[in-house]
Amino acid sequence: MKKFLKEFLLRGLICASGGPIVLAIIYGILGANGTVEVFSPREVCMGILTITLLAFIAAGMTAIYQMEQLPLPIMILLHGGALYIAYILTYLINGWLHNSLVPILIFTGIFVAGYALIWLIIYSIEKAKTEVLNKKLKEKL
Amino acid sequence: MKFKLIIDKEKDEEVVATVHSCSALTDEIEALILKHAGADRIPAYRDDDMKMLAFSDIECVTVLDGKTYAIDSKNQRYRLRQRLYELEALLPSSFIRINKSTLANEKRLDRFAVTYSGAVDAVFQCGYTEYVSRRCFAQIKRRFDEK
Repeated sequence: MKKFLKEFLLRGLICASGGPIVLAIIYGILGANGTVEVFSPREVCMGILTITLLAFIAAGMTAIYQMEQLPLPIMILLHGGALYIAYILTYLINGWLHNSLVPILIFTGIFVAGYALIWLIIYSIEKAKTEVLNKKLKEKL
Repeated sequence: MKFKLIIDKEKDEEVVATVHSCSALTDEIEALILKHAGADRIPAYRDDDMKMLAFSDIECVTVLDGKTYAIDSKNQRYRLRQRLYELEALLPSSFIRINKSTLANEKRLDRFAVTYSGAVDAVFQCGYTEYVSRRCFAQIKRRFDEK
């Protein structure tokens, strides 16, 4: 647990600064499109703080995969759960998502689909790598 | 490849091979020398019995509840007295680390299998299965690429 916390903090601190950069790009695009013209100081401050925290958590939580004693499904559940909570709170606090059932359900559906898609890609990559390795193992024996 | 034999009664006996990478030949030389020196076996304990377990019969060595065990080709578990890092230095190069607490005999590996959770398991010829950590998977891949 101590190792996880250390790794969590290290990874989080390295990547946290990436959050405001992403936010600045999004604000820039919204401004250029004319979608948003004015931000209040509160919106800007809250946006920067929450997105920094989100980047910190998103990067830090990847440390969970270093904990070999945990079964992988548990790791996925903890990682996915932490990301979901971090994302939904960030969106709700900043008013990027309406605090009602339908938008939250749609967001949840998109999040689950995105997460599942990423895992499908990872699974396919791992399967391909394993097949290559098995071929080499057969050649060796 | 050249073969050089130096007979010198003054020096300690040793076999040194300079090769570009490990191969079936180096594995064979290693096994032959260990066998010749009587160092190809290890004392293993099961219930009250002690057995000299041949390295070639060991599928993997793993740590369970802080104790080191060897799993043989009949999927039987034997207690070993040494710690994993000591065994890593003692066992032939065919034993590769597959996770923090397991050394696998690659000659006894049946296959690698991907689980639905995206993890990779090492399946041994005796049927025993052990997970492969991502870090070790990358090392194994590099090792196989070199050969």
